[in-house]
Amino acid sequence: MVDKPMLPELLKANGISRRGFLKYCASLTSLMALSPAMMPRIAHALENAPRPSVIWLSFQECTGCTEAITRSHAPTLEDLIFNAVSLDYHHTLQAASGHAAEAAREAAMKEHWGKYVLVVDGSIPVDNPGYSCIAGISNLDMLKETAEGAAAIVAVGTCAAYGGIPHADPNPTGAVSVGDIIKDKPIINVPGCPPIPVVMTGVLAHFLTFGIPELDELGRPKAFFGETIHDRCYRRPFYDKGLFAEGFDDEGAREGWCLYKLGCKGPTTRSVCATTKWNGGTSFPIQAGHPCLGCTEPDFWDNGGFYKPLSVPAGDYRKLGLAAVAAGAVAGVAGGALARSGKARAAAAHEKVDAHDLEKKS
Amino acid sequence: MQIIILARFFGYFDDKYKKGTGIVFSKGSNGNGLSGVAEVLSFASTGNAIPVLHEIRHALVELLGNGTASTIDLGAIPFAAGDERFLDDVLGKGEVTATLNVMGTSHVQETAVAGVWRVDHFNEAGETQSRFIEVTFMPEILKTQTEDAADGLEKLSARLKEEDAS
Amino acid sequence: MNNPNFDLLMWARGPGFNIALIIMTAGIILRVVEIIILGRKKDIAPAKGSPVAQGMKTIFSRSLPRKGLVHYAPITYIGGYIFHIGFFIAFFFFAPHIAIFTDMLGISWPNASRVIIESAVALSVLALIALMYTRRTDPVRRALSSFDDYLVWVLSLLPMVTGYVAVNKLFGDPTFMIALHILCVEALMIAFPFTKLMHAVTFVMARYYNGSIQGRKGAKS
Repeated sequence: MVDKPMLPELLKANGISRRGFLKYCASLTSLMALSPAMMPRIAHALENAPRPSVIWLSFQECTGCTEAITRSHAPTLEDLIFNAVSLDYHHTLQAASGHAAEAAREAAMKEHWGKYVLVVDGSIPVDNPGYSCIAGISNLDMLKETAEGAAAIVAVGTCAAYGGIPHADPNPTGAVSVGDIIKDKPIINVPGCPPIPVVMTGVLAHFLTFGIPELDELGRPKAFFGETIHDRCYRRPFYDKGLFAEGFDDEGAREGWCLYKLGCKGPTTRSVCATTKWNGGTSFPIQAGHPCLGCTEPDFWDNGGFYKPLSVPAGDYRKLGLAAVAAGAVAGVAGGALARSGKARAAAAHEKVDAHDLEKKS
Repeated sequence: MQIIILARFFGYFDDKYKKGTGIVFSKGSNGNGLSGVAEVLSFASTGNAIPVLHEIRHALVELLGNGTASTIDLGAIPFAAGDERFLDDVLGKGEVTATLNVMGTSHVQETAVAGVWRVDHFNEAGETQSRFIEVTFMPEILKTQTEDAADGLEKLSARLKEEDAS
Repeated sequence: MNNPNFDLLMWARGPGFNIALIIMTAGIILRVVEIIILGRKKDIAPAKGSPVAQGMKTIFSRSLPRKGLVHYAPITYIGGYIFHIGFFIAFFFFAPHIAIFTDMLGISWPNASRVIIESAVALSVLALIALMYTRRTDPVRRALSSFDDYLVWVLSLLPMVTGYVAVNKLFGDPTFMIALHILCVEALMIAFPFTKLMHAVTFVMARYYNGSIQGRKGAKS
């Protein structure tokens, strides 16, 4: 692999001025959710950033994450970031196929051993590793083999980060996340179904400039997953005022009221959807009138129903409740009868006592 | 001075934007369907515009006190259309407007509150990349950068050389 | 990878709720049926007034304050009202709570705004603290208090405190705080039929009974 030029040279070669570089840094700072005061440091870091090799592995996934990250008009911020890395293996995007593709992966691993970044989308089946293979190699083996020489792993999408949809009950393939298998490498989880494209690129940019970002207990960068959607939602004032849409076509829905009663999982979901938004800042699901599904959280698929409010019991409790009524009634009748018979017995055993008897006894 | 301007606009807010705080949308809007929704949304407010304006005021005090310029990233704050509208109304349009043609366009505009600038970056497709409020005497991006000036010098020298050669 | 907080929330919303619902429902029915079956001795004297009308009236009339009591035990008296009304508002007029009844019974009613709910909760909590203060400082009440009284006090306080913390995200992971809130309510549900909390159901029967006895005698109640 040829050593590619550094980013500022690349920009210059594309006829982009220093002013353009500044604009790029400003937008990148905003994208990485960093304070604008950090901009000079980002500019400095970008000027001196090494250009790591990236190997992207796709396992049990729908390609939605790759679709999302490539959905942009050229040349955008995302493209520029991808010019700053060397994407050496991505079986959906690369031209090579079959043995040539695997050879490219092996070559990149060998050349950059210990230094490359491994990006994974999709979960890994472990009940029978043969459920999902690439070039005859099971996902499990390929992940273990490739992770060994990686400097860090970025698990992109909820499937790679937490098992996602393949992991949903009853999990027929025994799907697990990257973090369930690899324990000895730093793993950055970027969940979402799919993640917001600029969040994916923002995390990569952060990794290139400042290394591994600060992560929460679920391995997510705090900059993008620090707050719940509910806290940053523009419909939040309606929640506070107690104004809720009760259906998808009622007055509340038309007026843009809070979607809590329609099952919105915003209060328990951490993501920047409400601020960064999608499609170049156009909108996000709640703005489009649909409750949040909670896709950046583990097991979001099994959260009791997408349209069930968060406060509502998730199980099938009605039959149990009726059974409890019946059982309570039966036990009550039995208990009442017992008490009555006790009372009757006590009445029957009742002896009449007068003062003389008492005196005799004492 | 700043306080008086803001206070006047807060009064304005009270009269005109009370609707925007939530409950009586449908009465104010005569539109139905999509236009009604658009109108409702344009008034929807998170209440975040006022804290941002206070932050700007603080930054102005800092700028005048010890010359420290500061930048506020509008992308990091949840803003609804109503907040945007309110912010624009309070700050107003100032004397300087510049359009930069650099990797797409960028709009740099001084607001009517001198020393407060809006800097909006767009990409080639016209999508918003980032939006800032800069509290400064001169936004950095407007200045010619040393590296670009060096390039300029090179370019001019080369052209002069061509002239000399011909 | 799992989120233990999320798993806890799903347990609270699933099996936890089922267990609490079964125990509470069966327990309430058991106790009510038992009381009814036990019955009362027939009064064979001719009625001098209307026992049914007087009984029905008493169910409501005894919710009104009684003269003179406020001077005798002001904190118990005022605190009791504030706690009960506040708890009632927070429980029945917070939208996420109404959603449970809608899901369960298909009925709904208007909800209150957060300001009202949170004021009600804050006042209720203050009232509970004041009530505990008098319980501990007044020697008679202190001597009369049993474990049951303290347990019920804690079980009534916890849902309000955890609910307030969860909605306002004062501290803790938001998912965990919602789970904790639901679990606290489930503890309250389980204790309900077996403690003095049962008065929330039996007050109707007791008041009717007292009212109807007086009504039968043609006396006021």
